Amino acid sequence: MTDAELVARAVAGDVGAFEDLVARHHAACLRFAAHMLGDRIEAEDVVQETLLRAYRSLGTYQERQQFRPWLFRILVNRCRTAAGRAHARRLRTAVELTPGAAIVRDATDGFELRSRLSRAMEGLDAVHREAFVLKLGEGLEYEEIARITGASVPALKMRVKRARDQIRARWEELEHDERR
Amino acid sequence: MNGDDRWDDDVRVAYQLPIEGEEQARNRAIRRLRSESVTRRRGMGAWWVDPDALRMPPALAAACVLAVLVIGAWSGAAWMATRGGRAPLLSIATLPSGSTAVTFVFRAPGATRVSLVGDFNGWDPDATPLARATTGEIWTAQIPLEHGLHAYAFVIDGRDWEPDPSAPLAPVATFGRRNSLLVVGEDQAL
Repeated sequence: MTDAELVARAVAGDVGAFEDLVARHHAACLRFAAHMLGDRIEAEDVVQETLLRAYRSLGTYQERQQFRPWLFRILVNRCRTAAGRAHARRLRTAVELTPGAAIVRDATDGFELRSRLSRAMEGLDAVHREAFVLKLGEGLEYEEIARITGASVPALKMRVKRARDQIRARWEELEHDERR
Repeated sequence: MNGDDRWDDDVRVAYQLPIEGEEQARNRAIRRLRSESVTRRRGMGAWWVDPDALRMPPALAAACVLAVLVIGAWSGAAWMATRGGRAPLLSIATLPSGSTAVTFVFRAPGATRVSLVGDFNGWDPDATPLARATTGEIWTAQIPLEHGLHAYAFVIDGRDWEPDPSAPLAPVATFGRRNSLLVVGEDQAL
């Protein structure tokens, strides 16, 4: 069953259909929020808020829209709100906070890669991090990211390039240190 | 494949590694959605629980809230004057422009502990205790709430679960308990 069919059933009152959508998209949402916020627990809260908001707003969903970009638009807004909360802690990386919380430990290579990416993204502001993660992490097209973030395509391309240059430079430093 | 492409692939692999505990987090999200759906059942009376059913300018919404509060406070006080028992008195939403702070006021003579439970605190009786006012009967708590529909109730001495009679009741009971509904602010655009 497609996302659109599940949405139609959920709008008609079938809660199970919305649960199927959650099962389909939760992992991607949690992954995005964890990389944006650098905090596994806060990421889970934000994803729950996102899903609740999406559920309450199903009436505003247009059939011509794709569900995933629509959901990510809500998620991006919730991440921005979470990052800007008065009591929010500064953007941190998973390795700084609660070691292991957002990091897979069952595969050494995976752990090192995740850790290196987290460290390489340290210090990157939310706007550049958001563009970078949506483009390189999620693999979305620029037009799709523009609809999600509200930014123009040229601005997004610039953000991704700057973020990529900064992250790659740091990544290579870290890789070099790891080999020594 | 050039160096740039290889690096992009490495980043994508690192990014897409599964998050530990994702399955448990997903199950928690689904449980929360199920509790939410209790107040969102479609069918008869759905208008009362549909956050999209009523839209109005913020100034008009604030005026309506104020009118309801004045009438509610007056009639509540009159009612309480004829009744000495424990009962909720009023819940007040303070809504200056852009604010989402909500003050809950509850009258509970003889109570030693009163707390607020709702969808905003996971229905946890320990999460939002009310503070006793100087009169000894009035308990209050002010908390920030997101704009939208909220279901809530008061818990007295950790055991008695009471809805707020000054607010609409949720159409469906949760585990046999009735909850109240509160709409905060205007429905924000996504």
